[in-house]
Amino acid sequence: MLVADLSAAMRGCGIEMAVVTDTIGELPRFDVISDTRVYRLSLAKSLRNSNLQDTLANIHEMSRIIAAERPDILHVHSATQASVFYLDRILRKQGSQVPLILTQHGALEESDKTQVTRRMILEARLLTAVSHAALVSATEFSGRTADSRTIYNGIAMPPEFLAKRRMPPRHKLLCVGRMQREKGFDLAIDALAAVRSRGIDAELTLVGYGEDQRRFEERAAALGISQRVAFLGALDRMEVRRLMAESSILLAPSRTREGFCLAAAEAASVGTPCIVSNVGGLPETVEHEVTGFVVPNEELGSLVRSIIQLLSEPGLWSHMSGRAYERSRARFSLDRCVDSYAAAYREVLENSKKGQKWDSA
Amino acid sequence: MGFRIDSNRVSHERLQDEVIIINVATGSYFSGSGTAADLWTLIVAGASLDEIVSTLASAYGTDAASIRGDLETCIAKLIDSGVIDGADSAPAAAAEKLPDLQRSSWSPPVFDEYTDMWDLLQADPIHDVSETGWPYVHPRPTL
Repeated sequence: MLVADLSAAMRGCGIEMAVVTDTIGELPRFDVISDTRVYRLSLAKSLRNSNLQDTLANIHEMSRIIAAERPDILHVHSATQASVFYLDRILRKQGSQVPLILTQHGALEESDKTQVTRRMILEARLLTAVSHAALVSATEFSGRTADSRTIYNGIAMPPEFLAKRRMPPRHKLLCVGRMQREKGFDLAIDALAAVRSRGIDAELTLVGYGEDQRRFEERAAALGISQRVAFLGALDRMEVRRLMAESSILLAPSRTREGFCLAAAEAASVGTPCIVSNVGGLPETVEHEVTGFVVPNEELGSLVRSIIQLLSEPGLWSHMSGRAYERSRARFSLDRCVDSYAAAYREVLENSKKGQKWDSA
Repeated sequence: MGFRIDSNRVSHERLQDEVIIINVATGSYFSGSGTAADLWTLIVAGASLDEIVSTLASAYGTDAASIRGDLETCIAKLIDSGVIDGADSAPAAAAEKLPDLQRSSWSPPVFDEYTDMWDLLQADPIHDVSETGWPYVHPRPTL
């Protein structure tokens, strides 16, 4: 999502992007989408299947794309994905005069700490991360001391009419993200059951798709609240924003790896307070007791208490709603994000032209 | 001295000047290019150490004595990594096995080892890249 937004906005700054991405679907290997050239290679699949022919073909194809595009900068989004293996091979084989920027999107877990991830973090001219937590996890793991900085993800601000100032009349809880255990949506379902058992007529909507949806549906059924839990699948962004604006609270009880909570930033932009777990960069997207609540990881009791408090105190809800709205504009605007990346690109290019070592800049 | 590759344990593939080897038993990936790829091709062809040295010296336009140590070092690492074993070798027409590529000057062959590739694939954040790749607009569902 960030890259899609950046690509469009960067064009306005005179910066053109081409994207090489992984795919396991059946989409074309090459597309031009909104004037951005998109190359799709089956990067993870060929490695997972130990398909060496395809793996080698991918190395050559990625190398050919880089040669054809002749980029001024290689910007790698996340060092914990299959594509870094391919890039590592190209850099080791050919070396590269093209400066590398790495943006780390998640806080590294123990299992993420691979050799090639460390190498990519160390070899980048500039390391950025979408939250301070993600940045610290990358620098602590790699021992990197060269320049690095946090650039919070930016979101396109919604139309003003979506931003609300009053608590919705119905108690609607919302989760947005991939349907996987990591996201903790099962905790949100458990929390809904607990909240309803206290006589509060709340409901929960889940937006997204993923491998654990059936388990979440079964969980809701086992708790007897299937009629109060709606699974809407993937929606376009305006629909999601509209749902956020109609919701009382956005819940992000993620268990792991979260570098930044885009959903929480988007919910805040329409004045919806958020309750997030104290994981990775989530506490940076929500200011505890100001724009929502930050609750201990996997602590259902705290999650339930926070939901009940927000739903039961309209004054508190309105205060948090207003502060969330203001903070999202001050901290998470797309313009601010674009300016930060454009400045980073300029700095890296200028230092490369001067032949300076980045860490002495 | 020659070398043996246990096909039950090791798979490998070469494309142009790059080779990838997997030790299936350990899950480790090895990859090398240039001289490393040529060395591997000769090992696969059943060449002895002496044949490898002379073939590569000829292919790279250098003298055998100066590259023998580089080759012995690299081969020893491959043996330590369980990718190849020492064996009695049969004579092979090794020189004919090298692909016809433009070669640069000699550099010591190196295989980069990726011992935690599976961890990388497990870590690959499926929430960062959707199943259909970026960017993709999902069909608009009916609410």
